[in-house]
Amino acid sequence: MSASMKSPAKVRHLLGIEDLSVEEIRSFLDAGKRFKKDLTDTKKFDILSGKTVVSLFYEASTRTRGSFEMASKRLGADFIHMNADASSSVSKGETLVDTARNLEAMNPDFLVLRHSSSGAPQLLVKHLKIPVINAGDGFHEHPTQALLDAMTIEEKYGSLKGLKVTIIGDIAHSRVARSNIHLLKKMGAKVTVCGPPTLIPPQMEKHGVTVALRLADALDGADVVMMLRIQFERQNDKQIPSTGEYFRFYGLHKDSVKLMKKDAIIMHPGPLNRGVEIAPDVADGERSVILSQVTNGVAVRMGVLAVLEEARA
Amino acid sequence: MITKTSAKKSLYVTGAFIIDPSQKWNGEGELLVENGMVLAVGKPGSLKAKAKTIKAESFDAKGLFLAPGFFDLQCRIHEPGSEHIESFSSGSQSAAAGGFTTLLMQPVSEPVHDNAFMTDFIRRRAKEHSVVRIIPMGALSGGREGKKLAEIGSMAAAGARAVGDAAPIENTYLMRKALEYVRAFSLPVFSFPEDRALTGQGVMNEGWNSNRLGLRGIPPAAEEIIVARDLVLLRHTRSRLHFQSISTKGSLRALRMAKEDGLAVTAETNPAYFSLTSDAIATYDANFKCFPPLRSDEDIEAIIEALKDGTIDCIASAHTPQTRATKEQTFEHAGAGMIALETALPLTLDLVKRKKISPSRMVELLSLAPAKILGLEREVGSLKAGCHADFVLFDPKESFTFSEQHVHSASKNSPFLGQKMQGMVKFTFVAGTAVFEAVRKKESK
Repeated sequence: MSASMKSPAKVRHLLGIEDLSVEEIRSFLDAGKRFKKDLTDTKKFDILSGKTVVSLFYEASTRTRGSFEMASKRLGADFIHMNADASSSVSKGETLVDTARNLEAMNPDFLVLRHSSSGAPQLLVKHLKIPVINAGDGFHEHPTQALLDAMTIEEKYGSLKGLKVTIIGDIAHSRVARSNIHLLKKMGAKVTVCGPPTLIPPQMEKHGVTVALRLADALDGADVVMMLRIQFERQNDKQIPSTGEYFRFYGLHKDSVKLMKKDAIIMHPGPLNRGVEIAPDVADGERSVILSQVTNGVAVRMGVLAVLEEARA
Repeated sequence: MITKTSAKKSLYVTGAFIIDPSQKWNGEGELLVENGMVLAVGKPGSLKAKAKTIKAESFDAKGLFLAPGFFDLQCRIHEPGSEHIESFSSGSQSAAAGGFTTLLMQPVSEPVHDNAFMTDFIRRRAKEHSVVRIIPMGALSGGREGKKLAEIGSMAAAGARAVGDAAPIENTYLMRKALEYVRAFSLPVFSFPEDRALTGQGVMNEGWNSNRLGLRGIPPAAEEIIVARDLVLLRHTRSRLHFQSISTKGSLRALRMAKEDGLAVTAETNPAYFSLTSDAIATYDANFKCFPPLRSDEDIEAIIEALKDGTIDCIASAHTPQTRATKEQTFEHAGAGMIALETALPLTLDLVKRKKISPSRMVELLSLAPAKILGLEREVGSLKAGCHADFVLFDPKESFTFSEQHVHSASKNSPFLGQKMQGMVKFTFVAGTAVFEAVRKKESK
């Protein structure tokens, strides 16, 4: 029971990739690509002029929040950011639903939500009428990240079909991994996940992915390598002994890059932990497309907002 | 032992199909009640003359099933402390509506029921405000903090019939000492088996669904380890132990072995654990959040098998009311548990409908077996002469859409709201007096 409906023109919300059809994914990606091309001539559009995008973030974020703000403003919308941290109504016992209802009472046109709990956007759409865009929920999904990653890969390879994509890191606690797995599988890529066994959740194979416990196996023949951020704030204290040991066995070094295909690309959703999951010279090296990901993030979020606006009209 | 003030009624119930496992009664019959107590159960017409002599009021129960009132070993009423969540009045009305006539009240009040003053207080308040019988269960540890033994002997003397924290006892030494100590007072220890370190921040069963939904998982091992631990302690102490909320296949394996060895252990499961799996959490609806978490199809199969073969002795509701505000949260942050008194019968009847258990096994699981676990089968859970005339009349065929109008609890956190259910409680009697009568109206189909 997804809140997003099946016809491309009828997607009301963007809650996750799992419930999207290939056509729906395609419509977001194509819109993102168009905006990227158009952005070379102009920086401002009027598709959302007179509209307001509210972002409600229950988790700190610089990049995603900034990217949504830029995307909204380039489409001509007003952008209001609400930081729902310890100092706000959250700590005063207001429920998430109450907070969102209050925001809706101010008549915004879109709500962008980031929340540390999986399923938070699913809870909100039951109570709100406006379109909701998930900017990351717990360990569940981060759909715009997967879209911008797909756009970046397509820029390099033209298509996702048949590519071997390897995702390395804390798979268990990664919404980036889940959204990417859904998207890549739907678009015909082969996916391998790799990480210490303590950070691979049970029944991972049911996603249709290959699980590798050793980095060398995961990198072998990869066209795309996605590194995930190791998040120590997420209770990894008993799951890996130290960042040093993690870097030794699962970090991307100069040497390990040689195992990848010659023209393979390296991606990272940011922010980087240099020397924890990726060596500085690899992150800044010629195979890295990390900054393209950031550029594409703005374009694809413009695409998402535009497609949802069109669906509403 | 059990008292319930009400008018001492004499009643002659005819026309019902009576199921009373305590006397292997399974057929048409009639029930004669004198002064709130059962005088006899007999073949149709056999008690007519006697009814006339004692001037019993006639009650026509044609077409209905009659069973001893259900006995719930795990019911949370939050009086005193949080009456807005569940009070004696609201909780007992909910119980009556579900066919329950006796509740073992979990020590979740504030202040905690960990001393004899509270035992006494609860019994007095219940007598005044509850429409069904309330039996207090004392906390095992002071303040339910899991640190030192509560005054178990004094609570037992004041009328508590079981002890347990309604939460895991982490400290193995404390559990051992509790098992030893209760032997002097003939009480069972109620264990809520969960290894909290293994549960960690988990909120649902660990498996494919937790992976897909990005929610932290609780492995079945978290339950099974404590089941195994407590059984080892039981073997050592030769005490009496009851497991609450058994939900996994692995727990049953350990239980079966212990029972074969003749240990004094009993176990309950709750309707959630034979009715729902973690698949139900697909939309993150927090009404499906409970501890232990909803498990897998394989676990459900094993639980049903255990209900059949006696590895599980009884069904308790695990009635856990929560406010709307605690449930209107993300799955991770929402309160756990579901109200369950009013849905226990239809969910259990579903097992009968699917031919998993017989009607008389169902009544045994809901009425007689819980009474036996607390040693009260000569008073309740049975329709033998001399027992309290506590009984339920239900229509196993009548279906209805479970909606808030059916909920008598002060809380509304049921995952079954809006669902079609079959098996309706029509009347519930305590001491021969009707304490619940279903509203006679056409259900919208």
